Amino acid sequence: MEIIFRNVSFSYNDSEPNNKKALDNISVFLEGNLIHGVIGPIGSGKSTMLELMNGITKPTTGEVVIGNYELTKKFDFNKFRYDVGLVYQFPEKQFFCSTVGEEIAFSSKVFEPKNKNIKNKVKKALRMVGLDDTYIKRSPFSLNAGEKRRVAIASVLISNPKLIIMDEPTIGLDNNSKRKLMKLIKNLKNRYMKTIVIVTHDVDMLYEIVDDVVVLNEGKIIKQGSKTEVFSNIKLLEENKAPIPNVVKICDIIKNKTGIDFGYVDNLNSLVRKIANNFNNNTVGVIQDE
Amino acid sequence: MNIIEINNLTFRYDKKFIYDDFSLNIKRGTWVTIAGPNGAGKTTLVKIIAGLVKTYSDVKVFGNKINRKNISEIRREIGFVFDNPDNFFACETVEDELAFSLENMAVYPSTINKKIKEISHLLKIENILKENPYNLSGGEKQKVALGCALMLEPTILVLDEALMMVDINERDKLYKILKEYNLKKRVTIISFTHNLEEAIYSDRLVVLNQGKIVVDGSFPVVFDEERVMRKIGLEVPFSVELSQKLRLYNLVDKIYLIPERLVDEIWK
Repeated sequence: MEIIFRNVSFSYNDSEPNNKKALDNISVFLEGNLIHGVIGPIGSGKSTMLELMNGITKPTTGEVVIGNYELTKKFDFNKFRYDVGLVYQFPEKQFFCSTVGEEIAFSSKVFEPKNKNIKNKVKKALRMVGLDDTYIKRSPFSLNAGEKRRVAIASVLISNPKLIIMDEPTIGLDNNSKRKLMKLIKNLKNRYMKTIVIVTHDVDMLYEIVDDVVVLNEGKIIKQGSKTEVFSNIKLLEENKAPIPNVVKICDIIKNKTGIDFGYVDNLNSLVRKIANNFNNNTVGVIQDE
Repeated sequence: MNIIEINNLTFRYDKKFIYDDFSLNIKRGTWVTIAGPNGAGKTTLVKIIAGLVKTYSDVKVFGNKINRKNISEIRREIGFVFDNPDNFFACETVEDELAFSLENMAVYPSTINKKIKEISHLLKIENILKENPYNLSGGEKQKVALGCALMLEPTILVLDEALMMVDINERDKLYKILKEYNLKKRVTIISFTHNLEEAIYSDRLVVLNQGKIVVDGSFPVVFDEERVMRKIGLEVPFSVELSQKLRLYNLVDKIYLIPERLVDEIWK
């Protein structure tokens, strides 16, 4: 599902003079079936962009098109809700049902009360997030943070959206839960052909899973492109106070201090191997990918 | 002198023990980072220190056991900053939000204004004082929430994942500001997090897992226990992980937290 922003501007208090625009005349095209990352410093307009994609707010000027839906014109909002899923920050804080099964089924029960297949849809959504059927009867409040986040994502997946928008999906998760969630996001793209947009500060996580990146600053798009293209331009990222992945940062330090250019390094283990190879160290094999 | 003393704490939700015979003392004026994976018991400990949950165990704050009579007095001395500032805002502008608690304590408006200037300058939030806090980004909201706590000049500042929405560059700046504040005003900082990078700034890192202390020490020695931290699901700082892996190749002999120093050591 493609996303198009055409000359989009957005202000929170449009009526006030000298009002600062949260988004200032941005145009962007995000291709379908890819994982897109949106990064930028505090207040750069990331969350506003996400809200516009989800149809929660309308742009002050410009057009937003998501797949076949032109969000600035009249469109079938209920159908749109099925095609576009939004995972908020701390989605588990919105839980209110007494069992995981009820929590996941809630939206389907409201929108399709006559559907007799909801139980199967719940099971399928749970399987998609890597949880088994035993979770159906459990209280969502008894789960650990990682499991809660997966249940919250399952409650979005039950409507089988083509586009999933995630606002800081790894926030508040420990490393183990984060790794599992990253695997799930990759799986949603590769196996279930979803388009995913992630707004985050967790740029190390993003670096490992993302295809394309949009960099925002002060409501403007500074750069858009593949992750190698975007993250290789450290100067631009620094100038715009955008976060830089640690692997990229240290490769840049090595390049500046020693003149050695390792080129594209996809993760820490690959960096360790490259450094060791540089010293002809043959202890390779000790480091194992996670 | 210990500002917080927890001796042989036992606490459970229903039948599940969160803490069983747990002890922890925190010295006045120190910055202690308490880290642990999800479900380690961090939030329960915040609630116990805040007196939000009742315990019959020996928990002393400022040398006194928390009870119904002294709880208000104790809370007045502790500034809490929680993870989700949206649950906390009550005013229409950041300025009003900062003033709110002091106004309720009938402090003179001129004193409040002076304090707002001081805190907004410290946290670099002068440019958003007239904004509605709900229109701010997550990171800005957390800075405002921190500002509200600092307005009260607390003796103890408790941060519960209080800076996790702030981006990495900003977070680092805030840690430095807090360190200076901690040293200058002798404020005790107790920070609950799973971001171990904070250990660089704090005086002590305590790692919890299933209600027990599994690591307790100060930087950088504490990161010799990196394997324990990783095993329980904590993300160790990138430079620590890289140093540890390069140790296997005999390229470095100790842990470096500053990437530049690590690179200098490898290519010395």
